[in-house]
Amino acid sequence: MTTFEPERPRKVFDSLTVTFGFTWSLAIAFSLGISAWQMHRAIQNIATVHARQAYEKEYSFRRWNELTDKAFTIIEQPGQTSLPTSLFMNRTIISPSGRVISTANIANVPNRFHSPGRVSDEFGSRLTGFVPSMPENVPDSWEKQSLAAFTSGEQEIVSITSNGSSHFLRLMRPLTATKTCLKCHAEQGFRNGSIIGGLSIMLPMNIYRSSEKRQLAALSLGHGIFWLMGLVGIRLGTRKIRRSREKLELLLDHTEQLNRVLAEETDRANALADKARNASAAKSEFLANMSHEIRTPMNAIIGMAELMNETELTPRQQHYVSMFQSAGENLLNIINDILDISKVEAGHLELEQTGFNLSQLVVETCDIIADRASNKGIEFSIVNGMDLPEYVIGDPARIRQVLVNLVGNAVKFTKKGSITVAVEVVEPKDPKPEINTTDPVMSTILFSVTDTGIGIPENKISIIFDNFTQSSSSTTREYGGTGLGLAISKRLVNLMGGVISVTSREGEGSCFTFTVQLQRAQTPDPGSRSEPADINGANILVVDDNPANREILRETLSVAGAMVTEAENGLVALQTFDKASNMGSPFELVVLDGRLPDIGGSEVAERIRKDKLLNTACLLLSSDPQKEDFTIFRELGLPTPLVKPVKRQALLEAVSLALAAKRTPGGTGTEKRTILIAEDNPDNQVLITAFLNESPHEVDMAVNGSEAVEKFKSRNYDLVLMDIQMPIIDGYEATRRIRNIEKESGVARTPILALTAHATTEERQKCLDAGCDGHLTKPIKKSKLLEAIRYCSRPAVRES
Amino acid sequence: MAEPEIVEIERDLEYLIPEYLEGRHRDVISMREALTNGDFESIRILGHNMKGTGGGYGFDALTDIGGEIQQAAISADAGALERLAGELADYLGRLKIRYV
Repeated sequence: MTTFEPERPRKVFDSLTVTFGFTWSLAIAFSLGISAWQMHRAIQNIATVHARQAYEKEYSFRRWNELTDKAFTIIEQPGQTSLPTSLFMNRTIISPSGRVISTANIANVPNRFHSPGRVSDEFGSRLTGFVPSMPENVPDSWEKQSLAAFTSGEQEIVSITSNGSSHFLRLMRPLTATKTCLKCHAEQGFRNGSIIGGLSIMLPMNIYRSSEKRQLAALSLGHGIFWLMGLVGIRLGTRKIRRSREKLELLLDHTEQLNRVLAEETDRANALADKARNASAAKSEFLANMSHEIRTPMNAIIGMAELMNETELTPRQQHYVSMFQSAGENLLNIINDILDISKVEAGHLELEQTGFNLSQLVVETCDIIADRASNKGIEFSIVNGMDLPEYVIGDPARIRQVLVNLVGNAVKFTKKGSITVAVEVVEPKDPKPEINTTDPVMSTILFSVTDTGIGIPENKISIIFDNFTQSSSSTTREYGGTGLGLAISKRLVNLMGGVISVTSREGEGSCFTFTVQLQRAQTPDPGSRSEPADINGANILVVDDNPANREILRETLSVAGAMVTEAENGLVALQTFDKASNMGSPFELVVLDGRLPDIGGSEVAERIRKDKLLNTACLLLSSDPQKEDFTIFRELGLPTPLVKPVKRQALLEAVSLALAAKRTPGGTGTEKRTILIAEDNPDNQVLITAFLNESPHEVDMAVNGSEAVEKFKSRNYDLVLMDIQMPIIDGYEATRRIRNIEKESGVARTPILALTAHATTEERQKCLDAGCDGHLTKPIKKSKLLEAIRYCSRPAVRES
Repeated sequence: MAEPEIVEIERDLEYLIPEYLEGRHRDVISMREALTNGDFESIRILGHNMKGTGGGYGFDALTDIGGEIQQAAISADAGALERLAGELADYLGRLKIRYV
């Protein structure tokens, strides 16, 4: 698989880098801003501290001067001050040289103190007052604002001011009037302790600003370097992320491509599987159709030959008939072999599970062939081993088929001597996994067929069970056969959980053995115990769409004395059946073809068996019976379907057994049954009670539908006889309610027989639809009532 | 004198028969009464019951007559019902039972 990686356009800065870079830059800018702001604040704080120090110094000096009054100064121009001259006079002395020397006025000491050494006006302290005596102490606008603030309680004012070219930090605190002050200012109205003005410090900010600028430059440089390093890191990191992402995308592309390929392959596999399934279904259908199409004419050929054989024939005609009878049978055998092997290989061969008598099966199978052996002067014997179970459950037809093959071969290939068929039980030695060996009733049965015939060459023994194989082509010429018999036998034996093998010596004979797994049965199959019934006089309905088949059946059964009615499809059969039942002469047996043009034979049987009272027997003859056919017939308690063509004798036996099973009632009629009778007519109530007086049955009477439902709820009944026309609720409704009660409480279905005034098909259907199992028409005769109780009651398994 | 109608009935049912036939005699009277009132529904039920019981007791003819009465009542055919009431009375009059 080749994959192409699409060319991706490479960007210098992808979106990831830009995003991270932008965020990083914002963070650095924020950090720089915060740091610069904090630095600015710190420097301003330092300036404020310096200003306070200057203030403290200035104030201390003033206080010292005030308290000691020791500083002297030369008065140049005594009249400069607005203060009274007397004040000056009191503290003024005239030096010998005539200079006027006065103690310094605290009001202008600082100014005077600083002025000689002042370099510039940019730094200094100033004294100012609300009513300045000296012109230099007149407050400027900032000092005026500060003085105003002191009157409202402020103790310190600090702010940055500007004179246009330079910035200053100015600090001012209030001055309170002392005694010294009041010497001059008492006249102005000031009192001791009152705020007289303020002392301020003015600090030029130039030095601080230039220091701040230097530090800011260093900070910015540091941040800038850090920012650049971050950007480089981001670039490298995002490149790595981008590469991993590209790798991941490439991987995902690959996975997607793989998934696509996988999905395509899965689709193709599914399509192939569908094709195979369709082919298998088509094969299966083809096989079924083949079986039907071939067996239908074969049925006619063999059946007609048998019928013709029954007629008056000249010896020559008889010879011809027996020739084509025998040819027909040979052809049928070959066809059966081919169909069987096809079915087994297609996996469509279903095994039947039915009870049968094992030794009887062996004897009957060998009887067919033993005649041929005795005609050739060969001794034939059957040996039954010890502990051979009498009754087993399995597929008797398939066991018979294998036996017929082996015994038939033995007779065919033996010219003198003997043939021995032995049956014995062996414990499971090598159980097949599908066989439940823990089941104690499973047994492995070994069959062996030993002859003194021509034997098999050693080199052919290993291939003898392969399809179309015979020991030599001359064998085929001399003995005939298709070479399929042993191949089919092997497959059938395997299907039955066993193995087949052979030991042989050329010229001395062969011994074929095979095993099958069979389930032991305690009692025979109920159907197999019936004694054959007399067909003479039996009322039989034959249903087949093929006129030739109907003719064969009609002829065969009529010769045996049965009254035969024909129907060409399922619906006609049901109509004919209903009509006969309503006329009071119901059919005892319906012989059904498996494939009918409208509804299948099994469905017809199901509908016919719905009316339990009639207990009609049904027999299915099918060219290709399906698994469902076997299941349905077993569930309906009917005989196992027969595969067409059915030979005359086999048909008569099957019909006879089916009739016997129908005529054997479900009970002897003497077991006690609990019966609920819903009937509103008093005459019928007393009549039914009288009919059952002598019987062992217990009768409960309900006079309307509602009472019937109530009584049904209160106890278990084996049978309910339900009058349809009743007051309050009618029989249909009462039946429906009873069926609902059964469904809700999950109890077994109690048989309900409708008592109706009319014997029409519609009436019958209405009763069955409501949930009845059959219907009796009024007036009720004693025999009919007792028969109904006998056939329809639930089996008496409960304690009475 | 009309020919007697002989019917064989199982001896087991003997004890039921007089009462049952008594009921049918009453049916003749009820029918005629209902006819004068034009009450065909009562007659229909009567016919229906007779049809559903007669044969059970062994009187198949009663089932037949009952069926005809039911039909005539459904058709409200007073003339036919008059005739059937007469037929029923005649049958009951001629009836001779032999218990077997």
